[in-house]
Amino acid sequence: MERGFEVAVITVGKKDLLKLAAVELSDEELENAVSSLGMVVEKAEGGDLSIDITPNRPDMLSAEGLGRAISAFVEEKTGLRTYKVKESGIEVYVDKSVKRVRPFIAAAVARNVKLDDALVKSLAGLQEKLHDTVGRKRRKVAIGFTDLEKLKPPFTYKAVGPSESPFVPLEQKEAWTPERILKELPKGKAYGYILEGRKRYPLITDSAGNVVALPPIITAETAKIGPETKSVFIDVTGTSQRAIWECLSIICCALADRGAEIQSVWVNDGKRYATPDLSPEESAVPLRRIDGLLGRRFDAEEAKELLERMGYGVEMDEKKAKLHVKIPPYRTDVMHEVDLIEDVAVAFGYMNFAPTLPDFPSTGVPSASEERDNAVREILVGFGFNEVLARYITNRRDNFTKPGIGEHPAIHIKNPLTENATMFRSWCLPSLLEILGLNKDQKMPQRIFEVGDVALLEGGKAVEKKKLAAAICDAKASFSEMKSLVGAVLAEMGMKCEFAELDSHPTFIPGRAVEILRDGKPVGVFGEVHPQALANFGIEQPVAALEMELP
Amino acid sequence: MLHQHEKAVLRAIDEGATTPGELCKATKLPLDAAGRALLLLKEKKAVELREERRVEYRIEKEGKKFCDGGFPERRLLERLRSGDAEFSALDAEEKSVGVPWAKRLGWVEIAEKDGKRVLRMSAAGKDVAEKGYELEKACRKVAMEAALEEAEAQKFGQALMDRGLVCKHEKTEITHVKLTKVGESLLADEVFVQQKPEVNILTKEMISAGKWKDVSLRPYDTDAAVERAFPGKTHPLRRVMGRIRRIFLEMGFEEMEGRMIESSFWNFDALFQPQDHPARDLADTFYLLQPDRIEIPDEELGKKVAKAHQKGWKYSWSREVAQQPVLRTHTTALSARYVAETGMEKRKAPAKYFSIGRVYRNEATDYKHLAEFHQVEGIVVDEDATFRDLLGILKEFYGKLGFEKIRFRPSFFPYTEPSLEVEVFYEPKGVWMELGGAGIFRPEVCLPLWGKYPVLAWGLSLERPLMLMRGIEDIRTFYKNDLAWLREPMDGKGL
Repeated sequence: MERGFEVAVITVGKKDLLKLAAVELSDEELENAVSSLGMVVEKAEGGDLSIDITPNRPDMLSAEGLGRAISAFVEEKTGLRTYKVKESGIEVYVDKSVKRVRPFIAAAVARNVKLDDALVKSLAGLQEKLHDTVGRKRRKVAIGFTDLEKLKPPFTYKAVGPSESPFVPLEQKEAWTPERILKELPKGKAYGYILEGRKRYPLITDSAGNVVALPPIITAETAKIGPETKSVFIDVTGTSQRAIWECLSIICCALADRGAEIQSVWVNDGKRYATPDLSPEESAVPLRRIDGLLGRRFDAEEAKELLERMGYGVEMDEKKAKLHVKIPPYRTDVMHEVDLIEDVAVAFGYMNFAPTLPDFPSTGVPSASEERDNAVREILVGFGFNEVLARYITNRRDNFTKPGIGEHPAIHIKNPLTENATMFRSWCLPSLLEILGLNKDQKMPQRIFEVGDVALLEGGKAVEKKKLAAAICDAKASFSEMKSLVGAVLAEMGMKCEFAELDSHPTFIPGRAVEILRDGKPVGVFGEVHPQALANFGIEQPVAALEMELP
Repeated sequence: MLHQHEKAVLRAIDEGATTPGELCKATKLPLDAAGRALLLLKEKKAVELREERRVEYRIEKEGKKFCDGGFPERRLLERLRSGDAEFSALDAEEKSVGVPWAKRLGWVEIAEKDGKRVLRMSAAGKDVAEKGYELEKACRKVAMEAALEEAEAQKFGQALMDRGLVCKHEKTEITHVKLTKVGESLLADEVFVQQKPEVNILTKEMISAGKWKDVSLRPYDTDAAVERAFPGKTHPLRRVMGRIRRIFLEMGFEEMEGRMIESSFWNFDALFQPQDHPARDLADTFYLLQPDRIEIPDEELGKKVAKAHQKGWKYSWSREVAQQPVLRTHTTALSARYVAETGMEKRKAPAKYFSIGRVYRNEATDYKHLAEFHQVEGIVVDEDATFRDLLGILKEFYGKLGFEKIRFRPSFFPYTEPSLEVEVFYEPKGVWMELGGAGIFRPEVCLPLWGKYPVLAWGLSLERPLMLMRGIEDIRTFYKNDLAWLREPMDGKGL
């Protein structure tokens, strides 16, 4: 169980947040509410709060969404919020040319917008966070805001050549070609990779032929929004229709919460349909499912109240056995009834559940291989060895070159970050030699061992093997000391092995190393390490070493 | 008990020795050994020592040179004895050292002769030339390692040091020793015990033949420093692993076994992570050049997972992407396999499983992040399991790990619903700390793999509790294998 993602951190003004939530809360009450909703207040500084938002709740990436959730949770304004959408009559024609570039667009109009500081800040933040999370750094979703009154609908969404349709990009004075924007403008350089290799770039234009935006890079200076803007045109483009619809819903709900009137836009891509759709989705949850999963009986009224505190609209059926739930349009994460059941638990409070234990009988069963490994470790510790914990990710230089051996088929990494981490080690001794090199100034003798993993490529398949490796570093370390140790370890493990002459192995001194055979098959090697290998690892004393596969 | 050297010294004093020199002669001990024995006896109040601080001068390099070749200012006088001399007639040392010193001492004056400037000896200079140069004599004495007389030392010691010709050493010397009453009584006892010969090593022969009765075994200086010994030990993380394994086994969990080189299918797809999920980005996951792919073991299973993705995430699922080999990013990949094997009836439900295994992240390492680390994971595969059971198991698990106070907070994991974060109260620091995540695998995970629902799951990083308990700030410490750290005593802490 690991997150596997980074949380998004948003900064909101406390006053603004409480105004949106329409409640008075002390700092502690506010922090508790946020935490109870599954988010974490990272920092409270001045009048601002920095809050971690998990990726399942993009609707909480702005003060509006967060305020809305808090308002319901603290029972100020519970139940479903409905969002009205009027028709704007505006149309966006989708040209076939965008199909292979950036196929989807959705749009909306927000009227009677008051673009004060709080809203500008909040809107820009929401846009940026949606880009980074759901939008996968604008590749999947990109959002543009423009001033409708500076534009002449209807709009066209099409793809154009890199040097076609020059326009004045945001915060610039002269007209730039799309190609130059990608090459020279900071935003172009940052997001140009999304259009890399494309022969044509996506562009939104109005009926007068003015460029509105070059998604996912930048909008036009001529359509810039400002304090005087009353009507905002919102365009959302991307590679997933579902994702752009979700983002558009979240933005529209945020603007509506600030008092804007949301109007739909006709998208015509062969089919003609209106976006956004802010009507609630409907779902039903049988009460017994809630009880069954959470392990506690909730009666219908109680469950209804809890769901209303999470912003849902809830109706009971006659028998009070089932809840009919209306899911608000911004809750894009609700996919299944378990998502609703979780929200019942969240509203109820995790700490209010009395813990129980599963009551089926079972006995502990250790893994046989783990038990074997531990038995081997015990033997080595008995001989006075220190266990080390080596890293398994290595590189050709450490795995092959330094110990002086030729390359053999191994597991190499396709996307290494650094030249130090390019492969999975194929044997253990280089790890031990590296550790001895690092410890050359520590007290001698040094006796170290490891029961660890290696991986090889055999017949096109990855094969993982468990190995015992040990090394003695000391002025008097010798083949015979290692031989008596190996003999004792094998005897303790009950392994019958023979020792055979070792065909040239450059890591060892010729004539001072042998191969370990089990049923005639080589399973390991031990001997005195070659001075060249010692020098390569920065070791200044003789080393006798062992590496063998565990049965 | 007295050391043999102490005894010998006591006897020698008794026989009339009064100085360290005499003691050495009588006992045949080297001076330092006799000195140590005297100091030990002094501590025991067996002797009275008279000590003197001595000052000794030693010749420096420059002083040696001047003694060998003559002091430059005196050589200058020699030269002037036979008449005035021009500057150009002087050697380099006479010019640079001799002239300034002779001038300062008033031995020479500058006069005019035939229109040229010359050096001429003064009356004082004549006097010195006749009587000799006392400073030089003192310096020669030092050079020959002879002691300066009191008056000499006072007159010339500082001057010679100022010119860097000699240096001063101070040392304390024992000049006279005398037995005390204690010493006398010790000696009396000693004479009595001294009947038997003293030996150092007890041999096999002595034991078996009973000869040990005829000898006295020499006592040791039991306070003497000895070499530090280091026991063989397992790695500190291994000990935590052991403790956590024992907890799981006590709680009736079965240990899972699996591989680290895994298909994306088990690492991501089986856990309902869409194929464009950020966690699957190249930046976070180690993808492998070879093998080309790792097959999905069961055709039917592949289809079910594909369907869950298509329905839930609304995109077209790719088998190729699912077959990409990766280094597992979490041990939940292993849990997914076990849940699926339950679905294939290779395993029975209800069941409880755990694993402690290594996982990989393609990220830059720093004090907080490692590219490879260990994860602890537990799952309960049970149709009747509930959210309350999950809370109960977590309470028990963390309780056994030593965290009495525990609290839960809603959270999010892509494959669990509900999800929660576990926080434990860490008494020594008096703070709540995040120590793992937990949740119930989503139906979209359970149903394709198992056909039933639910599975409880939780996990934590292995390194984290140990960092808390041992106050380790840098996670890289665990994999550095610094022997000084590995050899560090455990201070009685089992963990």
